[in-house]
Amino acid sequence: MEKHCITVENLQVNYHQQVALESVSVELPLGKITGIIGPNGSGKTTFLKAILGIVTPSTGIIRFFGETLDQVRQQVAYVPQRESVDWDFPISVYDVVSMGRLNPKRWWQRVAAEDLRIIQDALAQVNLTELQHRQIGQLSGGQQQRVFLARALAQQASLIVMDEPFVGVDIASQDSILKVLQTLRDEGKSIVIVHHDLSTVATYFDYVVLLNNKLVAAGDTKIMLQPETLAKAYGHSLLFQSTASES
Amino acid sequence: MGNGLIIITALLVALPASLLGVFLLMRKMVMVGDAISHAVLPGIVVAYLLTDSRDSLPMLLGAAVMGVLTTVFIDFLNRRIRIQQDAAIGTAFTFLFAVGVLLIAFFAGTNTDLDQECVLYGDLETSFLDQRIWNGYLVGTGAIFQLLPLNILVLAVIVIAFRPLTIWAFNSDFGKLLGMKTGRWQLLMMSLVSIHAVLSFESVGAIMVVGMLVLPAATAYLISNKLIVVLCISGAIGILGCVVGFFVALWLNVSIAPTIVSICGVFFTIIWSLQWLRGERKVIQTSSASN
Amino acid sequence: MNYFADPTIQRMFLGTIVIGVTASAVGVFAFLRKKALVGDAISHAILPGVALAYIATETRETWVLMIGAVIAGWLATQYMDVLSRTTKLKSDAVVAIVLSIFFAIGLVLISWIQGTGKDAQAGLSDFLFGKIAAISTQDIYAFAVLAVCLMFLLLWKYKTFYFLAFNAEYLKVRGFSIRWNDMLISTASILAIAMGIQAVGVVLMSALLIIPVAGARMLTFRILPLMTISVLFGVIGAVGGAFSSTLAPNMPTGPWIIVVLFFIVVVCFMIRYFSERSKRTSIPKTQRHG
Repeated sequence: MEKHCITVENLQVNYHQQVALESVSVELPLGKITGIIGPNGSGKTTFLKAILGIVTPSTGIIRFFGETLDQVRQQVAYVPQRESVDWDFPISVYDVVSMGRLNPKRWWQRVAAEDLRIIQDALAQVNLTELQHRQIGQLSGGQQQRVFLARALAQQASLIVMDEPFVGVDIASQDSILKVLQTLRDEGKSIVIVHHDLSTVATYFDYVVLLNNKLVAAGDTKIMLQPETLAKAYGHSLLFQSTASES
Repeated sequence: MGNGLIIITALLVALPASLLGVFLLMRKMVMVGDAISHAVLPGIVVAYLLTDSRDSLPMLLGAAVMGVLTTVFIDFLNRRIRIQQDAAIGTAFTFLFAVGVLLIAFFAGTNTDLDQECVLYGDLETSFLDQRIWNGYLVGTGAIFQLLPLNILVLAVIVIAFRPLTIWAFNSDFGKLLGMKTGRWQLLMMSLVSIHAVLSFESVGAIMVVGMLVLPAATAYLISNKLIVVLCISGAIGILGCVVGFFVALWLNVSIAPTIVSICGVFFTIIWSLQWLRGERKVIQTSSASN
Repeated sequence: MNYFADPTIQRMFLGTIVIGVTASAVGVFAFLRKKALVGDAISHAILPGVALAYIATETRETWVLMIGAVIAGWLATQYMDVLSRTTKLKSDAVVAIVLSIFFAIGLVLISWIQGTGKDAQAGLSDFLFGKIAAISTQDIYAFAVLAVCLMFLLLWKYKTFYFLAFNAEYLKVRGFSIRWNDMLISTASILAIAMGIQAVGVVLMSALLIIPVAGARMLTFRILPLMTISVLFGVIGAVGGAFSSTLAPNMPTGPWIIVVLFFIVVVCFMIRYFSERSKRTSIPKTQRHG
């Protein structure tokens, strides 16, 4: 029985003759909310993108639920950073969420009634039903984040991978997003989040991975937040860590 | 003698272009420079029709204003009409250029000096015919007399205002923090680009201007990161491109202006491929080191 | 009406409509992918392709020149791609570099052809500003067939292209091939541009791609209406421009089409401006990140 949602073995990513990630090996637990943390420039987003194949690693073996990504793509939902999206793009909330129902092997198919129901369910779960026909630029930060979450929900994936989803989001929205994530976890889904804010790690995550261009440490949250472990990752920059966003 | 005058004219077009182009490159405004060189066409045509000559100062000023108005127009399309940046540039300059072409077509019958293709190619080959004689000595051509002040102006501006220009080019936000009126520097540089475009039209035509703006500057930027070095290399490449391009054009019996740009393009490609090959070797070295 | 009975006029209208439709349809995706100026570079880059095709085959056959055009367009696209990937140069510089190099080479080739005295070079200069009258009826039928194929491709795959333009990374993780889809839409664009150049010329071609969708964008943010309205504007621009160019002798068609299209954009802006003013409740613009 597969105990891990993601297994990473010897992942190395080079970027323009510089080493972004050096020989990272880690196993992320099934059915838990995992946080990837580390200082700015520590390669957290690169780690995410390399695992998902968005960026090509120099070496490394990645397994999802014991299989290669190609075998389980439908089960992996990617939620990108909000700042990487063009919010002026002519697209509605509904259309973004409908991307969750795409199937590369049958992209010509019309949207089925079943798909429509799943999309509406996803919208309802994040409370965006009334806003579904708005252009995405017309939403607040928290609402925008929920659009991407709804897309991941519509995909009905077992693993949701998110890149700094709480940046620039008001506290109320952060809470509501967290609640949805916790519900998903309780249903058995796995969630991996690249996170920017040390102060919320204890409340959000069950498992923590500390990166600093290499693996510093990985383990249950309680163990990870010892000062010595944090110092190895953050070094002197820990002095400047605050609840402010690093983006 | 004619050859010498032609080369000098070409140099006087290429030098300010290669210098101004460095700043456009830094500010990611290269295509705006391209837009300006197209957009000045209607201004030139109108001024020409009104004053019936190609030499007058009002024409120059009018067309320079036209160039600055283009940046304002693009900005207007971008911010007020909310068209995205690249579409705003594309819309602005094609419309203005179209208007210019139509004006030429309307009045081509009466004014044989206006010619659609001349607008593109320029007329370096015959520019030496417009000679200025003073006290029996040949002192230059009409084109040279127009371009020389521009060259002096551009060099003067760059030398005198080097510090603030560097800040404007590399770190505009920082400059604003210091209280620098970055808008003014932008206006100044865009005005120089417009004046250059107008003056160069006659010699090298519209399309060549963008080539001289971007190619020497980009080549220099591949070689160095320091502004002063980039400016020097860019200027040198512009000059070299003119000389080599001129002789190649003579040899192949083809139009001079596009040959000059093509040669600059060859320089760029050579420098780029050298750089790329060097980069590839480094990658092979680092990956074999880590294995 | 005698006007439309004239076969030259018929050809002109049919030709401009075919070109207007494909250019504006393909232009929607150039706009979405933020590659308006790339379209401009491709338009200029086509010139040396046409010139070389002519030099190599000594014919002014449209389909021969088209092949040269497509190869040149493809080379330009590859060069821009490679420069973006391997240098620190930003996209505006890359576009300008490829545009000016290719175009300059094209002008050199044309002036070389002029120098050797082959008199059909006058036909090549038509590519600079466009000359719809120079296109034969056969060619227009061929273009129409090509246009139908391109439109089929777009209708079939528009959703994929649309989502890809919005969030390519997400689609990559889902298993879509970015490479393959990029190649499809790029090839479609190059073909549309190679066709369109013969009507509006190299310099103004990018306008035919971008201005219709720029106007349509002011009226809607949904993809199907965006495509439909853009194509409609493309047709109006083409027809209006072609018509205006017949009003006086020796008028080039290209610039007139651009002028009509620009006028359409102004009207769209007015519509949007007044409809926004009349809205009582406005949705607050949010503080956006990045």
